[in-house]
Amino acid sequence: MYINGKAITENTYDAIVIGSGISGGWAAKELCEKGLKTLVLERGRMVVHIKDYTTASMHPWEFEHRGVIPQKIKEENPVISRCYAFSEATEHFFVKDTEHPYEQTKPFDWIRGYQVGGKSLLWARWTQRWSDLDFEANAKEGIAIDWPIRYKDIAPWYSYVEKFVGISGNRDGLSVIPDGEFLPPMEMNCLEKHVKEQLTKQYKDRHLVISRTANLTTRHKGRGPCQYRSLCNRGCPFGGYFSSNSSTLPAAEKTGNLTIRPFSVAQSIIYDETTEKVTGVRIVDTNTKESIEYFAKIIFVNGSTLNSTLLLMNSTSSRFPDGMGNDCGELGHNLMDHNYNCKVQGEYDGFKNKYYSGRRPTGTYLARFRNFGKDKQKDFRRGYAYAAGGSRPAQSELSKIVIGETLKTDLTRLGPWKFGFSGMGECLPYHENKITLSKDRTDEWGMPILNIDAEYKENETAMTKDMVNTALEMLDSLNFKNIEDKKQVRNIGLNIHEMGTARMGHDPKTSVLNGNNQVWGAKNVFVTDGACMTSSACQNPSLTYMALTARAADFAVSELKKMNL
Amino acid sequence: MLRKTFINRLALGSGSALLLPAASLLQGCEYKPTLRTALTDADIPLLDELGNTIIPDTMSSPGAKAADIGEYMLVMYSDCMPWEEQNIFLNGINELDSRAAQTFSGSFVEADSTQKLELLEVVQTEATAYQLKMEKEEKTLPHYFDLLKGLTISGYFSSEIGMTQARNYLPLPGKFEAYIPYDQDNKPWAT
Repeated sequence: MYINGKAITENTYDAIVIGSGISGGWAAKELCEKGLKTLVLERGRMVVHIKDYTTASMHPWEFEHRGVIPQKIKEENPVISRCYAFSEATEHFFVKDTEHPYEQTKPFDWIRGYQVGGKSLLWARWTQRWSDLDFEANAKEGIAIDWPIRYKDIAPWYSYVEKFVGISGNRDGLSVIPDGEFLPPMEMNCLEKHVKEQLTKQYKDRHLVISRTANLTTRHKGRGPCQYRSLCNRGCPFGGYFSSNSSTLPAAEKTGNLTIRPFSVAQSIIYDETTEKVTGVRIVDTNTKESIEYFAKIIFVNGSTLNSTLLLMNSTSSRFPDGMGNDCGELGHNLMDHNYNCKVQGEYDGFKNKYYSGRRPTGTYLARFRNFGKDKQKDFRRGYAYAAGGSRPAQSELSKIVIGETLKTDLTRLGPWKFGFSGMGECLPYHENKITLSKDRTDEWGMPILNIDAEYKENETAMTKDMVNTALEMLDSLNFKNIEDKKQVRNIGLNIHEMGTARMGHDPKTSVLNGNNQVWGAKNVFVTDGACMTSSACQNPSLTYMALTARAADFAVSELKKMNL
Repeated sequence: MLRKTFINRLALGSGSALLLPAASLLQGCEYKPTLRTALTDADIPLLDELGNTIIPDTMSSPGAKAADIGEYMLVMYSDCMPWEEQNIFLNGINELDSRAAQTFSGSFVEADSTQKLELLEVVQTEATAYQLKMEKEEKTLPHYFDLLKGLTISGYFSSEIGMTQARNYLPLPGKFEAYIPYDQDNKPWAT
């Protein structure tokens, strides 16, 4: 084989990061700041902070359909059209079904954002820490495999990333969501404070707190503060929330060590049998369709859960005939997504002369209380949290039956206060919930199409029942009126917390990654996005991905210095 | 759909209006309602008047017509409604047109505001009765009046007039205050 020495030199970096979303951005920042020349490969287009937030300052009436997605787009793209954040104001940050098809053995809504920054532009920004209740659960219950880390291993890294990200929050002293490094919290409104007090009085174990959130209540690292527009997922021209685009990538760029290559689909990771390490990554340029190889000493895989695993599965060699790191046969298995099939709301007759000003871009959080402390459930394992919140919209029931001036008056006055609970349940890891490569279909760059075969099972269904009933019961005991079960049903995947499929563990016989997110058998490859998760807990996961990434980057560079990689 | 596409479609004939042939039914009234096969720009004046009857001008702010509700309804009907609802809405507009002809011996557009309100209040009562009847059904289609009223409300309160004059629009709040006092003279936030 003819080897072009010059091309190899030109295409060689110290590190390659595949993906630029919330975890890839962190890998890039950490590796660059530690002095490594780092190439970030991103399959989508460039999105420059502020400049490319094309809808960020538009008024509602300036959108052709006032934000509504046209019917034709909905019909052609049913999956993405089910996503709560997909609108005329944000559609340019989402992948349409027709652009990147996948196969579903059972319904799975796969929500994707292919651009520099990935879904970090679009995330909900809730950042509760995990605790040992979560890290120990698999081992205690004999479910799947044990996590190779505990809270003490990740706690300093939670602090490390929180200090950079900027998390607003209150130190509530709850062991299920340990306190972190917080900027001042946002305030609860009068109804939320009332619910918090009443819950503590009536239940003892139920604690409503302001959600810890990656929106800046003070200026932080040259960003923000939040202007309380609550238009975050259009991209924030004030840098009021954390994204790769606003935060980690500019920090990486500042070092002079960063190269970002957009329009680059990673096709496979190149393994060298003699050194038992990988040498680089083979990509396809999505514009020219050209295949190019890049080389580096360490590779971070941060393509988002399913695409990271797809890449490992497609990286076969005689050492790894079934996909890189798949000695255990678990690669692609144990896919999870949180279960949000609970939405309950009620009206409160009171606080009639109270209102609020500004649009707080977060809500309140009722921390997990099931199967914790003295609570023991016989119908399901683990637990759930509620996203909760009080608000006071215009209009009352009267608007349903009147027109004319009476209607207009009703619509320009405040109605009763409302309070809602949305359940966020843990999903267990099941070997049968899996992804595989399509046998015969490839995309336009020659990558196999992904097949997803996953569903919620008995534990999730039993938990849903309890989430709904418990929320209804709490609203009733707090004297709410017109209590309503909205009967929310979402396909697995639509909660956009897909995780697992390349899990961490103690043993190469049962896991893909070790306790430092290092691929068993290919030790200079690290997977630090949602793919690495061994269980799902019920907290929003991004903070944990960020902390694991910073921790793994630190480990990788120290191993590199010790000449172990 | 852009308005230009509409006009093209109109020119091609697929959206052309047909005159009701059964003029005898209308007992010699001068106004002849049209039986539309699609809504077009020509219907904007009628949609404006329907919208303005649902959300009228008041002392404190202009009504739906000033917010170009007819144009909004046409865009949303064309681009954002599922086809079942498009049919219901179109049939509803045809029905309102001929009921106006029967009731006022004239068009809805030209009727006076009391007549307009009276007619739509009758239709609101029918829509409420329809909802009650359908409550037990598992999957139901909406009454055309609910589509009309829904479009009027969503269009008006997402328009510049509705947001900045009927309600209180803060494009850049700059801060969050968890408590402010409220009495009925204050307007709610537009968003």
